[in-house]
Amino acid sequence: MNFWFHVVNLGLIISILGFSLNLLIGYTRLISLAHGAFYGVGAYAAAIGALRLGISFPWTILFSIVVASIFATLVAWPALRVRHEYLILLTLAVQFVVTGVLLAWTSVTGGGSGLPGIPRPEAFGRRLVSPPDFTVWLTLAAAASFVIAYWAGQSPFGRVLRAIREDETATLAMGKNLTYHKVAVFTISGALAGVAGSLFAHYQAFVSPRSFDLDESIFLIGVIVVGGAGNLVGTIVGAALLASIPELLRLLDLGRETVGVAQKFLFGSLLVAFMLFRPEGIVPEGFRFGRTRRREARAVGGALAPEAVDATLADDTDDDAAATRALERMEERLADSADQPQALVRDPDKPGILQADGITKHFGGVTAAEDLSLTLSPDRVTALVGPNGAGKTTVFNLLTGFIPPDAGTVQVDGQVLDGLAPWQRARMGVVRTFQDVRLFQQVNVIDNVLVAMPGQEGERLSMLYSRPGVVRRQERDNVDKALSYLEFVGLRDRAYEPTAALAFGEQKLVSLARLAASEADVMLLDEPASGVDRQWVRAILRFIERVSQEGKTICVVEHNLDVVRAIADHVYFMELGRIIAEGPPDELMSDERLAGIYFGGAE
Amino acid sequence: MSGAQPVFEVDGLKVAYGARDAVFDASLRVDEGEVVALVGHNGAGKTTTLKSAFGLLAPKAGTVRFAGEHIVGHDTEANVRKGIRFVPEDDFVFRQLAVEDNLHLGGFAMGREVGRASVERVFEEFPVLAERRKQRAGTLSGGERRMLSMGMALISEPRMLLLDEPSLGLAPVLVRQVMDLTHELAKQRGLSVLMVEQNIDQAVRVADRVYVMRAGRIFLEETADQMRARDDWWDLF
Amino acid sequence: MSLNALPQLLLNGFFAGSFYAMMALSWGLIFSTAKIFHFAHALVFTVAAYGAWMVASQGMPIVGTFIVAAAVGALAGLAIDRGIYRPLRRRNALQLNVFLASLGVLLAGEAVIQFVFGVQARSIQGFTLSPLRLGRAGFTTLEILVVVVSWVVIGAVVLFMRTRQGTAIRAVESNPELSRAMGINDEKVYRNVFLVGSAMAGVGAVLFSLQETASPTMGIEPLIAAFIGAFVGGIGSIGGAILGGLLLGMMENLGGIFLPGHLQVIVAFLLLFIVLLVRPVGLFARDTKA
Repeated sequence: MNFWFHVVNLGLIISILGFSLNLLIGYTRLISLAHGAFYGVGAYAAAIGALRLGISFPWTILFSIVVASIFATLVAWPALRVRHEYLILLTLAVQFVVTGVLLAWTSVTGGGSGLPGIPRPEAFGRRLVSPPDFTVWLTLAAAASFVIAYWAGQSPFGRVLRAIREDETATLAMGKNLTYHKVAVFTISGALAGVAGSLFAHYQAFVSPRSFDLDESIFLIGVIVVGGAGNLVGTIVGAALLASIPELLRLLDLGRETVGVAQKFLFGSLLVAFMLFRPEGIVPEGFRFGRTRRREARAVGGALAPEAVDATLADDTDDDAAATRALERMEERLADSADQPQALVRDPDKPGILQADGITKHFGGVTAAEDLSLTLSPDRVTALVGPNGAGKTTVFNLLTGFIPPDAGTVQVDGQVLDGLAPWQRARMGVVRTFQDVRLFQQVNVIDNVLVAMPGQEGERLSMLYSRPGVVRRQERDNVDKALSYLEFVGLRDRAYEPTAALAFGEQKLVSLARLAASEADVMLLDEPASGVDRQWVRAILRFIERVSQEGKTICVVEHNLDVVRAIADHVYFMELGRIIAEGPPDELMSDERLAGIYFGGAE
Repeated sequence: MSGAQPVFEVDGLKVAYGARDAVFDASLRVDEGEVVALVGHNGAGKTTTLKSAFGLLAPKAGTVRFAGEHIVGHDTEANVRKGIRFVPEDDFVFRQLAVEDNLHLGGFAMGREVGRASVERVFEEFPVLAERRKQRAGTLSGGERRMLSMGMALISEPRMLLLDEPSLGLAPVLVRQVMDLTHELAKQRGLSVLMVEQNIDQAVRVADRVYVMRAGRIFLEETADQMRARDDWWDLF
Repeated sequence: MSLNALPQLLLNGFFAGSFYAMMALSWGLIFSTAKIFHFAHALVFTVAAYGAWMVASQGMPIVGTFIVAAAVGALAGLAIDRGIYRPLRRRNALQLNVFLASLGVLLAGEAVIQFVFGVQARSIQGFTLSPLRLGRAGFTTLEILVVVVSWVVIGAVVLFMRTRQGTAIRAVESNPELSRAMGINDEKVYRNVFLVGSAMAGVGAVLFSLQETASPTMGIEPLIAAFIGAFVGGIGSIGGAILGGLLLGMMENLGGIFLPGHLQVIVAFLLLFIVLLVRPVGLFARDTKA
């Protein structure tokens, strides 16, 4: 009997570790091979706290949480600076360094023989000794950890994590502070590992480095992979499965050594099989149990699904029809907009005028931008035009802070933007789109819009746990707003579908809804009409017209001159990083000199 | 051009990158010894058409025929061996590798029959490269790199050249040189050329026919003379 | 530790570094070309060692043992690429997933070896070692063998990279897109890279088993040395991997002079950690694309 309780208890502790690791791997796609080390730091903190520092239970748990979360935060700083494959190495290095220190620093850690005699905790005057004594308490702890992790994952904070996972650049462009979110997810992940570590120390009454080595890290990754990355319920399934395999094998009377081998083989094969045949795991990210309040998504590919997802477009006629439908809905909305509140947020005190002066940028010997000055204002739609390689997209990068200029200044309504990061500029009202839309593919359509909204309390961990009510209420309002933005582009009925299932034209409209949701006054659109067929172009142009009428400042980079003629009031003509002419489109296109530059006649 | 055989025929090509459609409908042909330019605004789908016709991208629909034979779905190795070469618009040489190695790689798909002798032949044709045979390609000037990329294509003695913006990033005088070379290859050696170009002026100068693309469709086919006769080309972009 | 030991430590560093250099080159070649974080390289290493042990214990002379190990390694590496990585490539799997599959292969493979051969360590026969002295420093004929074989293999691979097939590998490594445009079949290049890299691991496995022993989990330690060497030196650079491996060997041995005993085990990781933070492209990598 005790044996089964023991299996359950281990499964519960592994679940807590799984929640912690899933926030990193599943939600943020930050691979960590150091989770065994995080766990070990937590366990040793409790052990050393209890044995050497005289901290009593339950304060040891708190002590572990503090130590492990500080440790994880320290690891996060270098982790942020490296690319993906380097993160594998870096966390691996952390894992080995921790194991090395635990083994070698004998005076404190007891070395290879570990630390025995960790006091068993007491609850209500009764000392917990046998496995069944612990089960209730471990269940409570696991439930609490689940709630903490789930709340982080399903909140606006978790939404930003998923956005980071899908596309860091786009997340940055939507005004999110990547550093804060990445560090914060490491911190909370470390805290949960601390919980698991301290519980383990008290439960086993003994810690040794072997419980927290690379094998443990790999085992935990297996829990996530098998259960389903990005889904905490999946983590419970994965933990239950992988924790019980060795114990079940033991029942088969195979002998100790064979059990170890069989376990290892089974585990390795599972990892391979899941990666080959079911990378989304047993419980995929989009999967929900039972009925829920809102209409929910069909299962999406999930956190570890392949990147390129082919759209399921039957044929052109379908696509055309979808475009026409979206356009009609936009027109409908437009027709009765008189008696509806304004769809877009517009601060009447801010004119939304962007002024750039003398912007210059050189890459080595190459001039990307030379003494550029331009003014974007809400009373006209501006277009940047010029031959390939003239530096039009570079201008967007310079204005939004993705590339820091060598000289020059950018201001919006008198506020100077120089030196600010892209996310800060987005918050000050300058946002952009990308040629290839860069939507967050593996989340629902509405999440793409929600993530762009400014001022969300639920994006901060401190608010998330101190004022859950506020966060929840604001989220409800934001969902309504997000739906209205989607309605604005005629796609409200697609709100709860996975983004990857949308046609590219629809995705372009969603990216415009996302832009509107940012509430920014200045919108820079990079090739809004590219990559979609004629009907979609009409819908997109209608949007631009509409937003411009509502007082937003619009600037487009567009190569299709048909489109430029249709929407632009003012054109800056660029060549080799310089603005060489400006004026209304017709005027510029009657200039022979510009034709020579554009079509190569001038020499 | 009467009597000339179509060497290269693209029919109803449709190409997408994942969910994103790039080419909705492209049909064109290139006759033997003909230079055909494919022009249009940036992002119109010209490069995609070229790459897809060559086998670098799988089209969603459409056919491509070379010398009467269907080649859609074949890999680039097979197409190079059949006599088609593609030169990309940028990053068209292996910068880390020596000039000589680059030429060998140009002939790699042909197997051992294209070896040292072929490399020497290219060096005779482009003496400026011969002087720099041991140099890393990344250290060459823009014009020299362009010549190297042409050499890498010509080393296998192809029948069909697909050139993606051969003028990109070159000074006007070099643009002329590249265009003249293209013309000469077609008219004197009978190569067929399909080139994507932004520099309409120069492309029209050496081309026989022109296709114009906008937003994923080829919407106009004209002779080069007709193109030259236009007042301006703004309407086509 | 005093400086008296310096000559000995330098010598030891060079011995270890030569082996690491070969391993770093073998792993780095695969990583930089196929873009796979090939953790299962450790399994290739182990399989080759057991193959070597089997023939050596039947009385195969040492030269034959090396050849058998190289062949077994090459086949094992190729099998992993064909059986696991290629299907994942075709499915357009994330690099992370390929890495996780690689981990799984390693674990499952180790289990199989353990099941077949048991956990006990095996030593490879066929080489008799005798001690030698150079001034104050001592070493053995085995260490000479390690150095000679490592550098012969490194030299052979450097020469191979100048051949037709080797040039194609460098092409795919530096510009896969253009390689495809040139009609270079990348699957064939991957095959070659796995064959060469894995054969090198096979040779390394014999050297390792002669010095220590073959056991089911023997592969992880040299694997880690290999990728630390490759990353510290600079991915995509042959010279970088060689120098990175050498440096690692030196640092591990010289670390004893500067660091207290219990921290010596983590010298390698500290080196990696610092390089990743200060110069993530690697110490000996070319900075520019030119």
